[in-house]
Amino acid sequence: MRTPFEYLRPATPHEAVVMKARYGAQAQFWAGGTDLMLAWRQGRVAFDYCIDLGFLPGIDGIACEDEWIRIGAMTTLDDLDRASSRGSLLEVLGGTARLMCTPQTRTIATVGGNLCYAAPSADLSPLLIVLDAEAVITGSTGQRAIAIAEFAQAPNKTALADDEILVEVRIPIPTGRQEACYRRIARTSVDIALTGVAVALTLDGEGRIGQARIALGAVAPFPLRSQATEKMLEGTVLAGVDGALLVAAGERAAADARPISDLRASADYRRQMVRVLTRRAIEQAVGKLMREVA
Amino acid sequence: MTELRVNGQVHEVQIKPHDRLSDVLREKLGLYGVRVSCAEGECGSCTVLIDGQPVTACLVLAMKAEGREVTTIEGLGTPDDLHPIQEALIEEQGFQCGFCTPGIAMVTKAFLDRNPDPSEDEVASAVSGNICRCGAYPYIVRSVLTAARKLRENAVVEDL
Repeated sequence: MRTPFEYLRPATPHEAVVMKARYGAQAQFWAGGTDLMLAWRQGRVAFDYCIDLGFLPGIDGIACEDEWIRIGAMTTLDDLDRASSRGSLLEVLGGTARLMCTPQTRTIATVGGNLCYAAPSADLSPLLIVLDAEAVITGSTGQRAIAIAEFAQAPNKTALADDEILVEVRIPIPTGRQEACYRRIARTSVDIALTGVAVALTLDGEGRIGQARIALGAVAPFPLRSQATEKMLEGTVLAGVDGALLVAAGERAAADARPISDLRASADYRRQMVRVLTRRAIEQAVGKLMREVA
Repeated sequence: MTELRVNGQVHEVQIKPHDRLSDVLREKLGLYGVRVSCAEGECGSCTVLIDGQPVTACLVLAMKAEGREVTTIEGLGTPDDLHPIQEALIEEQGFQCGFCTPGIAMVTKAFLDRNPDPSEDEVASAVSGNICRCGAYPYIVRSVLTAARKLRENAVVEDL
């Protein structure tokens, strides 16, 4: 059943959190609303107040600074796509944005909305996790930052308190060589990911993998890091990443996955796709690092 | 009452908080060129422009369009004065039943404004969010390429 709501339009992030603190669970932040519109129309969510974040100044856009790439929460997926030419990190982010929904929906959907909706299949989350990104959060009493890996806690549930909003995602700019990629399986480009795997690898001074990050999407209630797989890769000479290691890494990541069966795919299929995608994503990242070295 | 700017005209409209932009354009303003098919943001038939950007109007709260410029197919061209994109769709037969065509024309408008000389692959990506159940896709791609050529030629003429 659809329940009507009142529409509120805060002028500043602070005003938004004060409104949310006042109405608590009766209020719903609304960013682009591409997920929420359907959820509300299908009666899956109900709330008395819609707090539209779309008119807040200063929390959209992408800025590249010395230490961070800063992405405002209301940056659209289309903005992300269009920033692809601004460096290799943004190229990977833009490429991932292009995997999502359609061109005319990417102009509506926001980075912050994608993260706050906290779908287990959210494509940006695994990638942001392997890039060690942080969520910058404004609350009624001040600002804090937490790792994106800690942000999504369950389907549609995040680390945000009632009086907080996500205002920015910031990604540390690597000091050395780093390559990242995200691979996913989806039935069509419009469909959500059945399984997604993101990998980021850094290169140390001796041609070895320095830091490895691997995150799995759509195989747990929230995107999951596979630290055991990361440890298998760290310290390995690039040229030593062979077929046997890739298979073992895929196997290890699959062991960490906790997929469910639903109408889109069975748990077994998802686990098998973790094996395949982990292999491919590592291979791709290693290939990019090798090209840089050569 | 909320003020909406649509196709260059200002309208005072009574909008409910949960009204979709597609509903308001069709039912309050009679702009039936905004076609609603899936109503889930997947088929692209309800595509309109907000400040020049294509959006699936079925996923947008009408309130979000306040203070912005909305363009529908009715604002693109008229039967007597077709837009080059509409001419190209007719010449290249980029449709059969025509239901999805307004959405495709609007996506094309935004796309060619951004990329006036696209490759065939870029066109295919640009219209990838528009489902044509008649399957006219190759003709749609050809229409967009023809529209691009027409618009480039017009631009040259205007420059002279």
